[in-house]
Amino acid sequence: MRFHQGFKLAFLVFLSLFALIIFPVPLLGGSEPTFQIWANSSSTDQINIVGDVNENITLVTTPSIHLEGVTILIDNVCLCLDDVDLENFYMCVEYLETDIEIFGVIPLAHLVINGSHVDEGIPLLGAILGLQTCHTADAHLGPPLTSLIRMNNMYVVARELSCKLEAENVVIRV
Amino acid sequence: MEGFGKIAGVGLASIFGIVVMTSMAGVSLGMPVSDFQFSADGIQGRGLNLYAGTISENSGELGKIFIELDGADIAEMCISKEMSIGGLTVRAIVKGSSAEAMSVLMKCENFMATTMAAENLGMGPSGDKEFATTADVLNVKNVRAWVSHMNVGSIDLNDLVIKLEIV
Repeated sequence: MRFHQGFKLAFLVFLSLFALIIFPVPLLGGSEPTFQIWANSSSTDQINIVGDVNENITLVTTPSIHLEGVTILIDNVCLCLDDVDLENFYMCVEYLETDIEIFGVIPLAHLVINGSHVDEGIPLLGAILGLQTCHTADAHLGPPLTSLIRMNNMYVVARELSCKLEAENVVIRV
Repeated sequence: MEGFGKIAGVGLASIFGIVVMTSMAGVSLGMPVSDFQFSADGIQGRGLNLYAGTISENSGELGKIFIELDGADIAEMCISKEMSIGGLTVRAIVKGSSAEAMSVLMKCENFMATTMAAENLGMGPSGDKEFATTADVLNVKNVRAWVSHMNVGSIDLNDLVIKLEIV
């Protein structure tokens, strides 16, 4: 009987070790390759920031956005752009951090989105914007909010970006 | 002595002429030309694929920007390269008022432009590359780049000018 119990225990240990060897990637949280974006300031007419809980990412989309002082670091290649107009903007984000200001002057909040969740949100307007701390990012900003609110000092860790682009003073270097 | 100087000058110019012509022939025949400064008033490119070089792709030279274009219309192209022979520094310049190039590959250390417009721009995994920047159409103006390697499948150059300047 004891031998039988010992055999069962040994079998369970063996099974656990086998699972650890066979399925290491999900256990280690195998992450997708990412690239980084910095922008000094941004202005837009309309922006959607929607968290995807299943993928643990946040999708940022906008018909048009203007960015200033942009640096994109993608696989050791650095793209520096002074003024950028982007259309049909789609970005798959793992991490987003930005200062949110009213009229670009009065500080409103420091927004941090990690995966699909809001780590640091907007205390007062959070409920309206859907950017409350400990919630899934779900903000749909349109006029008149977008004319009031500006996002400055933006840092993004992105998986994918697609858009139509017009930029000034472009430098691409390693 | 003056005659000797003239003969030496003609000889030197001939050598540099051959070097420049060989370089240009290399470009037109799809052979690599190495280490030169590239500038253009504008480039209208199609089928952009921009990525960082890896050890396997650039024969041990890590840290270069690879720019691939299926086709490109280049306005006011200028290629210049400085050479030093016998203590004399000479700049060889090749200019073309307009050029149509196909299957372009530029390996650059840097790439600068005053304006850039791209349609259907994408950043992320692309083909066999973990990361690449792709675009259907690329339009850049006032371009300057330090190119360490260039391959062109075919090129049509208009108003070609080749000259040498003593620096």
